[in-house]
Amino acid sequence: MQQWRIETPQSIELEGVRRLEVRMVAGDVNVVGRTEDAEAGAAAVEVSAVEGQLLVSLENGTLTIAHERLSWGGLLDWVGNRKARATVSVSVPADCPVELGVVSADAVVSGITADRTAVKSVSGNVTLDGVRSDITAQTVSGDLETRQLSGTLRFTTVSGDLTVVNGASDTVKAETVSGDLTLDLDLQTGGRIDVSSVSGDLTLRMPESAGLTVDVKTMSGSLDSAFDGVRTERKPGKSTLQGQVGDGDGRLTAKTVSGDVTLLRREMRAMRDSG
Amino acid sequence: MSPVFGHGRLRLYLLKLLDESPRHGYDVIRELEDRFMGLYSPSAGTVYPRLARLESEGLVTHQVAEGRKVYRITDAGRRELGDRQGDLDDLEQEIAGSVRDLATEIRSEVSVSVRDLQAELKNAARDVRMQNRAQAREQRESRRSPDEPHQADAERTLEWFRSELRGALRGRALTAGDVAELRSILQRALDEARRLVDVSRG
Repeated sequence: MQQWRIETPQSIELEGVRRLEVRMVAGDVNVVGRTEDAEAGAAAVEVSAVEGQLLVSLENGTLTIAHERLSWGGLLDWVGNRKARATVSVSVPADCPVELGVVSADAVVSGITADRTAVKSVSGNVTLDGVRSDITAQTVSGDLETRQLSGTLRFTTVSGDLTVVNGASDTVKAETVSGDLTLDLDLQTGGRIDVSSVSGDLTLRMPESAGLTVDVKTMSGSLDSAFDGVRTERKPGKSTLQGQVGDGDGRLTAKTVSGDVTLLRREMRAMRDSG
Repeated sequence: MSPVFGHGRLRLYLLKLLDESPRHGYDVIRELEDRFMGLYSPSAGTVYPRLARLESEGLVTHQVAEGRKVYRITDAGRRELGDRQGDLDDLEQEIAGSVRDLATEIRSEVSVSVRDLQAELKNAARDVRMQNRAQAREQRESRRSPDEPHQADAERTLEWFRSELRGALRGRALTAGDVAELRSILQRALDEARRLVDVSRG
């Protein structure tokens, strides 16, 4: 096992990295997947600012970067030293599974194509860019913002917002209390979107050619659809939005208490414009 | 795309790649992607003209193998590379240390697209909601319109009656007897109107 105690800015080059675990209190953490020398498990850790001690270790292919005493399990109710702060940038092989936990630190994860990616945050905002993976993300109040996401996403939050820009996922499952969900999504064939929300709004935009079977229920939220073939039925205490879009291949199920649900169409022209 | 390649530094990096081994153009592009961890993807339109220029300066040369040009560095190219070793070291250091800058850039780019998307979808959602409301209202109105135009007419008639009568009474000194008489006239009119409505309904 190799180990470093980091108290001043420092860079470390490593080999044999197969897995990354990061647990940080405050600051910034950036994780970038690289294809260069990926077979050798080449990785680099750059700590450009640090307050409190940061431990870096490599054991059995697992690269761990952590503030002391911060565990994965105890992360969401961390009451320890909030002064521990660092700015850490890591490049790891793109196919390296990443487990990233932050208290208030903001995180960027880019270009990761591993089977699994796990993110936990209390109040830190998390940005995922070009990640193709089975992603599990959990936040209390932190927002999750993604661009060019593929694979599956499971998101659980209290008040954090989820925004998916140019997504091409096959599964999106989200549970929120008051966080809003804004999804611009080209759902893959046979894909599923499954949302449960108390007061958070769901706005979903899909290509006009999309195929989806829709089953949305709310107690008091507004339901609206820009697709023909999806009907709203309003009753006091329970409204539904049901029907079929296109070939009805994918599935959208959503339940809210007071959150609004809106289905929007992305016209082909607009899609070309955006990319 | 990347700020790393200002001031002829891509040219220098191309020489370095060809110094390592002869490569064809596509290889060079792949290598660049790899060196930048897949984050910098130069287009063929960026790389090929630069290779051609290096060739015209005598720093590289090419042979055609299996229908593809394979580029190779010349002695002049190696000298040029040696002269600029310092620049090259700087460049490589910057490439290594650019993960943080890159992440900062990604964060702000994604954040801008997220705000744009949220604003765009919010507007689109409002439009759809208004359209749906307008449609629902139209449907409601078309359902009840057959028997209702005359209702409005009747209400306008009442308004007219009330304002005419008020006008007639204004400024007149009326006795209690006059008012009692007026009340009984109106009562009779009301009874008759009720009869009419009941008959037409029945």
